[in-house]
Amino acid sequence: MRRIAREIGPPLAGVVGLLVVWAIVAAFASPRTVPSPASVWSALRRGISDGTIPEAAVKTLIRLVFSFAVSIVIGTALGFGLALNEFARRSVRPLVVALQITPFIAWLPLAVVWFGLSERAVVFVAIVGAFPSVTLATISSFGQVPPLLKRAGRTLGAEGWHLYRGVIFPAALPGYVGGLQQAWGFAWKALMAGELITAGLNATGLGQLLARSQDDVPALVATVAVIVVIGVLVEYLVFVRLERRIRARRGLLLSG
Amino acid sequence: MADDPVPKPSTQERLADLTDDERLVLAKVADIVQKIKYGTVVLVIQDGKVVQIEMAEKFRLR
Amino acid sequence: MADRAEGAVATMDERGAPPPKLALRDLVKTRRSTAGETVTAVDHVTLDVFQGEFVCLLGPSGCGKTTILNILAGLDAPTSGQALLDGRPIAGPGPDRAVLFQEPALFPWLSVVGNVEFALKHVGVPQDERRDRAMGWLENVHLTNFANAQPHELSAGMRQRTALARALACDPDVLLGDEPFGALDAQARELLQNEVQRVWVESEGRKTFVFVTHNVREAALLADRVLVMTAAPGKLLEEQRIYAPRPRQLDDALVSRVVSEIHEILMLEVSKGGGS
Repeated sequence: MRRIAREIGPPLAGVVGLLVVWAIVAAFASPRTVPSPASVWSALRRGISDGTIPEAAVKTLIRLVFSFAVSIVIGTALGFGLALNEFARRSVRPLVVALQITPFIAWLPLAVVWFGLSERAVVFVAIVGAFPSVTLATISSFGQVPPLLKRAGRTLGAEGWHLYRGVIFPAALPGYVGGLQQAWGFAWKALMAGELITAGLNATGLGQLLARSQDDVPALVATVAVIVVIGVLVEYLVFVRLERRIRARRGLLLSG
Repeated sequence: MADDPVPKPSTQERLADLTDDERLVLAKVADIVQKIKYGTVVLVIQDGKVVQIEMAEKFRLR
Repeated sequence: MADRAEGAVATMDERGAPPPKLALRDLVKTRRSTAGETVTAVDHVTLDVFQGEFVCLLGPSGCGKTTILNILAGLDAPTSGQALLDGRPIAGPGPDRAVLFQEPALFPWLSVVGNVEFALKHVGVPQDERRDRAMGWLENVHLTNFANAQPHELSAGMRQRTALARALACDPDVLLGDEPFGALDAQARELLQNEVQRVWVESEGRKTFVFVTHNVREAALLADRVLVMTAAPGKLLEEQRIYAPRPRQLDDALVSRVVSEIHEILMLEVSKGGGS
């Protein structure tokens, strides 16, 4: 219990500080530019109770989970293939790196040309933005498996597939999960940007909600807050916990 | 062991004086000396008796 | 006993006897240095190791002893010459020749008992028997209290003991050791040397141990035969065949004598410009 308090304490203090600053600034600014925390709070309650926010959030999350899942499958398969074959790796990996560096939003107009102004275009951009991280993390995590462990595994009778399953995959797991975490971030950002730009759709996600709320500034800020909270929750409830568990087992935690 | 003032007993006389056990030990050591070209023999003695014979044989390979 | 030709005594040519457990025939291993030159790590080494023997390869760093061990383990291949197991060329690594590395090489995602179970799994022990057999091996090295600990929670000596349990769990015919006690403090090293001695004695001639070390005392303590090597290019220099029962202590008369003789010849090599 104390450990949870110690962990949440400082960030909570930061958030409270932010709210205080916000309230002060809002008091001096016009309500159309900087709405007060109170007005945002009531806009939030309104949005939740009339269903617009939850509905949008669910739609966005469905798209996100789908894009992420597809990125994992494509990214891992590609990464695995490249990790196995040196020539393939040396020829294809630079392309993947280029893809990762390119701002994913640059793909949106092309996606619209291919898929029209549809949900498919948005998901496409999210996938393109996310899978390179998975691929690169897969390749590097395989490459960083300590050779001694592979040798030990082989002398114990693990060869070929058994060596992969028994030694290489578990050894590569921390690096791989790090790549998944990065991919999630990219997918989230790409999806949001895509949704915002394709706001003329009937299918509304949070991004489209943002685009439509431009007259209702408190609602706008409320939506932003929801987006932020979702991102933080996933990051902490899923990735940080997963990473911590994986590293603790292996004695890789940085602090005691 | 009483020392004879003069003359010292010959090797044969000393050998004749030995117990069977002592002669066995000597035979084993002689065996080893015949077999080994270079090496070491160690006799481990407890209570006045040889309880162990250890040896190391050395071979030059170059 | 027949006269042995100089240079041929690392092998024993006894007709009618079964082939040696491990054999090297005129083994040569070269590699490319970073400067691009060909460096000879092992220079025409011929030796036999017979079933049930405890052999130590002793020499300074760079004498090729680790290379020989890797070749015997099947992790490396000869450049020329042969490396034989039971008379047949060594094809690759396997649980019949378990290896103790200088770093324990435990799998960090598995617990202590999990590491031992890994070995059991890959020699075909069925799932429901693994836990009990693994605990048995841990008991053998006095680590049952730490069965569920993770490797990083153990001291270096305990990790190496776990590695020993894991290697033995494969029930290998041969145990190879690549300076397995080199990274340990003096106490842990002594403990493990005694453990290894005990395990070998208990195997009653069924297991063959080949260890590589640069610690002269350790070699004289553990081995039936100490093969002394020179530094690069690695060649066999001398063999000491030790007939002393176990358990041996470091201050035994014979052990001490053998140690000083080996030191003598190593010093001689160094002064001849043989490197060290």
